Amino acid sequence: MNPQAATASKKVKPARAAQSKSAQAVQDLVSKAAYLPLFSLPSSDPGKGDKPIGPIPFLSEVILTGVSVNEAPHRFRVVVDSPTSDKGLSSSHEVGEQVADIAVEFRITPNDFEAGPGRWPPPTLFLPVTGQRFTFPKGKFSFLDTGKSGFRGFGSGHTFPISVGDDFIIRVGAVILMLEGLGKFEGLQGCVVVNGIIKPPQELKLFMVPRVMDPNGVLTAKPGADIRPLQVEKDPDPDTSFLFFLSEPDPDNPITVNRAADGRILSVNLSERLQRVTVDFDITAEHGIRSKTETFETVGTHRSTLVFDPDAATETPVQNEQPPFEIERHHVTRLYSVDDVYSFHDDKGRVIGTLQSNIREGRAFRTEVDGAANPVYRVGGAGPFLEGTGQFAGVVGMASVNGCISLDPPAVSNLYMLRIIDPQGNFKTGG
Amino acid sequence: MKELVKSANSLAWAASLYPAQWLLDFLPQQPNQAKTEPLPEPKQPTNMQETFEYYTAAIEKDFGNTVRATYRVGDQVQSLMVDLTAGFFRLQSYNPLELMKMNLDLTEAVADTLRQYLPGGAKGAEQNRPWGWGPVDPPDN
Repeated sequence: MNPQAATASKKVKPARAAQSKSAQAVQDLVSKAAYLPLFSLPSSDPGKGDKPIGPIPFLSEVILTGVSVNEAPHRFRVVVDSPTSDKGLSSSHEVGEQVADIAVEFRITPNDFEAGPGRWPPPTLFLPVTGQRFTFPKGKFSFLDTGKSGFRGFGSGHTFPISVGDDFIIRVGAVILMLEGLGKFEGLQGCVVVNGIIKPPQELKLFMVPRVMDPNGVLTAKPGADIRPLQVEKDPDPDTSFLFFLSEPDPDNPITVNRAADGRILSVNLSERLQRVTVDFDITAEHGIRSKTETFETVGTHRSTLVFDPDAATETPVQNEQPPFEIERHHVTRLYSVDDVYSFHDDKGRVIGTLQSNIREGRAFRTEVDGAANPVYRVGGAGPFLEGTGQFAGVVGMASVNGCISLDPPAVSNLYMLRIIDPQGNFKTGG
Repeated sequence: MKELVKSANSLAWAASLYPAQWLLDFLPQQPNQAKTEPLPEPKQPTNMQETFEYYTAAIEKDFGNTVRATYRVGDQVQSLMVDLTAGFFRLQSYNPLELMKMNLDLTEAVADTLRQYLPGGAKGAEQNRPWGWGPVDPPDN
């Protein structure tokens, strides 16, 4: 061997090792998150409840421009079974005790409305037959733990109506940014992704998952700690099945970036492995809210191209109820995906089915994290199912994602949540 | 009786919009135009009201997104007017000032709703202030 080449090789090895160590450190950072899955039900408090907003007060249930949402989120637990060649993918879910209160203003917006915290859209009628944008100009999540944890948030979303048989279903997808954390959420960064079905103003079957970046384990249960069992209540949504998967990088297909001729980032190619996952939490522990995430075997892959501008000079001024109004800025950019395909296999590696579902309404939040040299991007979004094969042929529903990616070094950890309209029980455990 | 009148009005309103859809069909399709959501097949009628509803639904199925949205807004308004005429409201609703305010609010809401279907017409759009919470416009899926 050429001695000079050997020397060069030796010099490179420590650099590569350091790079690899750095990549693993960032992967650990983006993966450290607490998930708090919730299913929202009407408040049992007679003084609270959803109040439709419309131009004619006593006709606002028919002609409405929004809803003052006062709901009671309950614990929500999904267990995805190991896929088999006979059954394919299946899952069960349980709705538990109330763990929070939500007070959120929901307003329909014109299509090109530039939404923002405290920005109220012009009154825009809710039209059930067409997809519309909406915003949450203000909102507050209050958990019922002893520390009175919660957060103020702002978000926006989109409706996706569809007819299924004789039913007309309005799917909604939304992303809510945590603006200010309270109690155990103080100083933490996170966002909530909503994947719901609504028949305003009365019927709001909203499933939502706050994901909070938790590098110091403030909200995360210690290894081996048990979560208090969920107190099961009647299932408010028995015709729906949920599938949760947590992603990890695909070592054979690392994240790549598509650039314009001037070097600008145009989009990001993601290739991930999907693991079965169970996420649960409780709020009654001695130290308050604790979240626990358990991952199992890899059951599929996910590929997509995320289209967003990581360098966009956007920001969300945070407005307070009282002066001074601007207290902090959050960098947020619009995001959608193309060629977004999930592929699932059984324990023998045979393909069970594939599902295409692009993110139609998404946001990316540029986030500085201690321990990462470059910013990472929290991503949230949702979009209706487009088409499927195998077990997913003809399936109606909506996919949503709440996660975090790093472009340099490449790292990813996304929670994918598939909500399937499943009156036949094709995706239910034992169904 | 009230529901029968509403059904008849709906049919008349839908029929009056049919030429607008016919004209729109001749215009070139806009890029990124959202697909029209399919509507369920109308049920076979068994009485006069259902006959009106049957033909209204048959016409609405042919509407694209824009005309369909216009139809729905107008239909809500005509339904409201029938309710008004039928004395559906509480007595205090006949306070002229309150009635005037209601009409103004309703007109504003209908105008703002229709405005969103006009290119660049939405009130509140501030494209020069990219806060990142504007519309996400992916290419047609």
